[in-house]
Amino acid sequence: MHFQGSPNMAEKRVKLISSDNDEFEVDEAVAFESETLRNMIQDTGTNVPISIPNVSSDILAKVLEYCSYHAETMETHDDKPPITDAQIREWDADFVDVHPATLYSLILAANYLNIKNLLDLICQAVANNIRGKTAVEIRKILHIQDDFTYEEEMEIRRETKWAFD
Amino acid sequence: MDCALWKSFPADLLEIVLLYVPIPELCRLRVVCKRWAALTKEEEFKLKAKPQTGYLFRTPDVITPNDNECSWEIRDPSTQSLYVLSDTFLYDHLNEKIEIADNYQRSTLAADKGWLAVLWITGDGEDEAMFVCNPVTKSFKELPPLFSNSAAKYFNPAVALVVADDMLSYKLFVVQEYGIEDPARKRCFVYNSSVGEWRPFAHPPPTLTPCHILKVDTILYTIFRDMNENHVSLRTYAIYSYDTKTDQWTDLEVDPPGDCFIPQLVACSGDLFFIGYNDEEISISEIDAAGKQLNFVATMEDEKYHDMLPDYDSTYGGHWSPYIDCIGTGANLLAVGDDQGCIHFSSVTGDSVSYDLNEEEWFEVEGNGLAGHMDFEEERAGLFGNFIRLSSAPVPSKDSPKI
Repeated sequence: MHFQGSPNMAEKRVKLISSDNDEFEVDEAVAFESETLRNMIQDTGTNVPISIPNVSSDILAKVLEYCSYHAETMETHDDKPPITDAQIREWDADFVDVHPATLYSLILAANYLNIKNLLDLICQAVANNIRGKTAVEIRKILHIQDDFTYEEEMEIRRETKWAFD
Repeated sequence: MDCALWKSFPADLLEIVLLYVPIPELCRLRVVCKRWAALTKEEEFKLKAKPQTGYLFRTPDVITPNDNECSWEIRDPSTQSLYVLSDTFLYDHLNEKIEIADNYQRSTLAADKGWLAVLWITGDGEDEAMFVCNPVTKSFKELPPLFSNSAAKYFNPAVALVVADDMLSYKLFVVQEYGIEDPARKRCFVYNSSVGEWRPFAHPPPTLTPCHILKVDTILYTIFRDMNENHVSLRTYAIYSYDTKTDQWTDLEVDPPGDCFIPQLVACSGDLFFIGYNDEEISISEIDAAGKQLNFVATMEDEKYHDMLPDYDSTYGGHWSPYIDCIGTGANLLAVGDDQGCIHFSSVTGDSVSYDLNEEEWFEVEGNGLAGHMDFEEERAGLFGNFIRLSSAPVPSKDSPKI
């Protein structure tokens, strides 16, 4: 049975347990931002707390902050003006303005919890981190072995010479 | 980035990250390892890649075949990096078909999502070739001929390219001038890559001749100039929208000032602006389609404005318009909006200035001397006339061109 469209949806609460055993309680609509949680809730209901064994409490708090905000942007209130796309973009930009280590944990969490918009947002932020770095720097950071011969590398450089100028 | 952390980063997630890396960076990073080089060559990757970076796109104006390295130039407004994309792949293709005479000219008509619509034409108007191409992948499709009797050269078409979101198909819309000889002749044609031929589409009201066309998603906003029966411009402008999905023109019923030389439309951060200039000022107005009015935004500061506008004497005469997505000869100034809320102006005088809509102030970008640039020795000019993405998706070119 799907809860979508049910008038009681907003009142339903979901309990989540992080890897370090902290308990979080959120609206079902917030948890539904995650495809993984949506599937779990639809299987087991909201009575049983859901453990998320590979996401720590600080990262889970951050993820839920994202989900709450984005669930809220979907709601319409008669007394409040709707949140504009520009406001959402600004909020998102602030959200990913964190230490790379946090980004790294967030990307894993977003992937595991299957929150597509969050994953997109963080991948974009990581891609921005890559900008301006040389191939040598990237290999060092990502521990990638350079498996090209000199001639092979020169050939690739020739193919898109404009990007190297 | 912390080395220890990223060491164990899952490979499949890394591939998702790479989809967001700007194309010039991605091209450079292909030398990281064989896996990355192979990945960026995969068809699926090319189509899924959706880098968000936008670039100011400069098209040099007149390209003479003596330039071995004809080019398009793009600038990343956030890093100020300038990239030069070669068009020799088109040149070589043409050279195989016909010996390119000295007076061949290349005109970049329109751009969308990293693909360009390009017209090559001989000085005598005898030969022409139109392409849709991707300068990153060097893929292209030569379109069947559309113009006859040198129409392209003398009728100044307004052109818009609409590439599908999945990068698998495209449509190229051409709106020609209000005809002198035969007012009833068809003047709106669309090339649909899925169909593979030119077909007419809905006409705007007669006597209206297009000045500038701006594509926003699937809507083509067009400034028209009203012509009288003797084909004399009344210099009265109207702005219409054409919905490419419903095939309908709609008068926005805003009333643009009639006393500007070459009006332009600019899209910036989701809003639409009207740019007009005359002997006295360059101004920006926001188009309020719902309220059916233009709302004044800003006028360029006096001293800057005099730098931007060259004297209207023979110095700049006789050159093709450096317009992209625009028509009309003698356009010495172009405006283009980016996705950061800035409108950038570049002039053939080599000067440039930008307006920040959020901060409500004019600013100049350091080291931007190349923004507008005209080299009379080389007979080249170039202005930033479009804001484009780059794409790794190749232009589909399976069926052979009809000649």
